[in-house]
Amino acid sequence: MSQDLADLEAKLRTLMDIAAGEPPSRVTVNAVRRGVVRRRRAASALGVAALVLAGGVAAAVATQRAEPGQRSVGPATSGHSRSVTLPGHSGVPRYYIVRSVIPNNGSTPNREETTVRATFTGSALARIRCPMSAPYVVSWPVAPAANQNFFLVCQRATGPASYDKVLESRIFEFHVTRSGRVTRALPVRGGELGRLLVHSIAATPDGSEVAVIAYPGTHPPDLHRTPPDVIVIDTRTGARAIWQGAPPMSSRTVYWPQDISLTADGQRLVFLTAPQCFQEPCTTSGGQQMRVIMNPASGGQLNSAGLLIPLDPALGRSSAAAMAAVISPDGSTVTLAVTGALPGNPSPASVSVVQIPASGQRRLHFVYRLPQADSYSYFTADPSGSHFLLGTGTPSGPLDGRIDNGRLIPLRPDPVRVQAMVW
Amino acid sequence: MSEEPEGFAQFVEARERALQRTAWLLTGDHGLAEDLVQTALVRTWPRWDRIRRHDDPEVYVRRVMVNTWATWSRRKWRGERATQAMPEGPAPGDVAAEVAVRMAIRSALESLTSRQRAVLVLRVFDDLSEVQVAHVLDCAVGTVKSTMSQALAKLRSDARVTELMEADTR
Repeated sequence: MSQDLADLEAKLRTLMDIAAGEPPSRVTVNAVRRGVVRRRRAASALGVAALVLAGGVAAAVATQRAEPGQRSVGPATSGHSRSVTLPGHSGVPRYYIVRSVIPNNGSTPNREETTVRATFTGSALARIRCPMSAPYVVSWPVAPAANQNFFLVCQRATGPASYDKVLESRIFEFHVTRSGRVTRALPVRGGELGRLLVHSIAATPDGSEVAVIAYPGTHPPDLHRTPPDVIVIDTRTGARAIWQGAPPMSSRTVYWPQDISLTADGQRLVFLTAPQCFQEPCTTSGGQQMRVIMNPASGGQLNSAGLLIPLDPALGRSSAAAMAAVISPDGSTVTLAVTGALPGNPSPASVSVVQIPASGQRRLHFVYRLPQADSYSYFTADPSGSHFLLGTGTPSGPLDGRIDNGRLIPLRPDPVRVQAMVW
Repeated sequence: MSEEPEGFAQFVEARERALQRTAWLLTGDHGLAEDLVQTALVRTWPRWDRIRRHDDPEVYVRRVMVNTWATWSRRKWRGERATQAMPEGPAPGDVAAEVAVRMAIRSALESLTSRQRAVLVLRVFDDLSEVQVAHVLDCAVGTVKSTMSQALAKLRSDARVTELMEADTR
């Protein structure tokens, strides 16, 4: 090897040595052992499934041979096939992201953190940090996309309180790996939001489109009188479209978004709104509504969004209030978290999760009902729109969990500390 | 429960950090690097006794890491996205220099193909011989040499890396 080449390699080695740094020791024998066990279980289940499939095929072939000339009726099945369930095929997301408060002992303010936890064990696996250098950075809200990809809003403020000014907001993207670790957060194209205060975020499952509800962050916004904008970002090109909230003017009904979601194709942005009239007379009014923006990438006025579902008749003209709403990826159904009495859950102190067809038919399907609730804090859906997380409270204390066949399965950590969860 | 093979725990304890460093150079991401090392060790566990008898365990684990990373890189969902530069500015003091080196090396390695990156990391950083690299990558020694030469040529044309190397000389 020439001296030049040896010299080059030596310099390169030094630079690589510095770059690789000193990683913390995180891969342990116990973690490896758990991985080995998981791998063996998956392999054996796959083996059983293959056997069942082979048995089925063999039975079908045997039937064909035994009765030549006759058509086989229905699929050939073996007696065991119904009992086989492959692990990891239940569709329940393996990990969820939690925003929680870490209480301090009086002298210092409480700390907030965003962590990744395993759905079935509750164990905390990784902490999500914003790549921003400042003491007051909030790593929330978070929106899920498919394949355990997430969009994270990092908001740098002048102080820790909710009324402190926002100095910088930016959207990042990160991935939760198969073992629950978090990859580095990468800035999303078009995700620089300046000094806006981001209230909530939604994304299409493929992550090509992201939408946020944003308020001016330069002064503490009065959320009841400040019109929010919805900003839609094409993450592939960085192009942004702004849907402006109408200012509170007299004789005009305004439709400000409470919660937003996108269909999988990104062609419809649906939002929950309570029409507001700041000074009578207003032309239209009434109860809560789901409104829809077709082709959200074009931008415009939120007031021009079309009416999708008037919720008053859909919820049986009850006194219930929708707190959050999510459109299904195919746009066929809206799932709502509702507080108050509904036909089918008459207790006024109740929390329900119901589904209604986007066609507006008055058909309520109850996903979950809690008759005696005394608080509501959040409701989110996974990217497939079929698994839900709900934060609520009963007289005996807060309750955070995932909805599974009409039951709320509690999720860690201690619910007193949870602010919100997504998966 | 799986019976732990003899000497495995000691190997993990002793070499896990070194493996993570190699994994970081391959992936450019700490989370993925940890995952890669863990996956490689999980795959090595069932064959540990045979590997210890016939092979160098560390070379074997590195081979699994390189192959696993090649598979992961081919998956569509992991396809790299075009993004703007990271907003991390250099911090004051020595940390700044370290961050600058890390970012330059990461971006230089990302400009290489997976094969070029693997050859460079194994040959230069892990100090494996050309024969060992060929063994790890399951290719001819000549291929290792030509790939290495292509990788070095690419790095030489990277202005940030060249600048860092010149600064090192000064």
